[in-house]
Amino acid sequence: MYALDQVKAECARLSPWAHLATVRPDGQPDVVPVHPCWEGDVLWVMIGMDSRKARNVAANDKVALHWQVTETGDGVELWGTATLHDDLDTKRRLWTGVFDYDLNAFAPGGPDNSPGTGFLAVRPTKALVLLAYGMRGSHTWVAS
Amino acid sequence: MTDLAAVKAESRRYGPIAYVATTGANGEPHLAPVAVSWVDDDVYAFVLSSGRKVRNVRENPRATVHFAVSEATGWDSCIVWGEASIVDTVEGRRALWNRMGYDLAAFEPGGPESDNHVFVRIVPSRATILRMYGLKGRETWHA
Repeated sequence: MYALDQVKAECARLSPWAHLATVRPDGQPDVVPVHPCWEGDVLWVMIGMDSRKARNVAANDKVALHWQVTETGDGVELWGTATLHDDLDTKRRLWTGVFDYDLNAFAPGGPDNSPGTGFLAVRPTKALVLLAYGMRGSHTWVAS
Repeated sequence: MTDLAAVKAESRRYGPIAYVATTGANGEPHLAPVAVSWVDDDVYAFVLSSGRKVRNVRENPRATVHFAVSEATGWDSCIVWGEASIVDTVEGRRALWNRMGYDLAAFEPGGPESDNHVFVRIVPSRATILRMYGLKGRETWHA
């Protein structure tokens, strides 16, 4: 059994990008590429508050992320529950020091003048680390 | 509005790996990188019979395919939504065995007669092509 820190390290080794799956009220999944970043044990994703993924999470908080697999097939899938945040305090805190890229490139108004921009907080519940698509082994983590 | 032929051509830019999303009976999504191929106008994946995505599709046929995004393709996306089913008969596997574009025997030495693997078939209902996350435009297709 892995610790969450080991899962995080594996994610960092693989890629800064992941595919995020959310689910519509009728059960249809949606997938988008995202650039998530950790703050402690919470995974944050910058989003549009009127985006499909935000509307999906408002109806069903279950999400899954899969980091980009390497050429050798190593990958990480992580499941969790998500919440939406667009309050100014959260946006100011996350805008600098949490993300490893410049959020102003996507929301030039900054935290104070980007009314359509918010954040998705994913609290992990379990994760699966697969080596070579599982052929060289796997590791799991489950929240206690 | 684009057409399905353009979606299929676009999807081939991204390579054979796509992230296939399914939903469990409890509403939890599952996302897995798999090698996919177009056979005629449907998307197919060759997967383990015992896998989560097979169980999910048997409970909820809605599935989504997101072809792998990367810097090499300018962060464009190709997303296909559709209805999935499982091809788990010997006849069905035989019909598809040589149409996936790679050697399935490397993953299933038992050949199409083995029940250890099945095909997931996704019949597209709509698709979206996003240029650089949609910042540079989008094209859509509906069945």
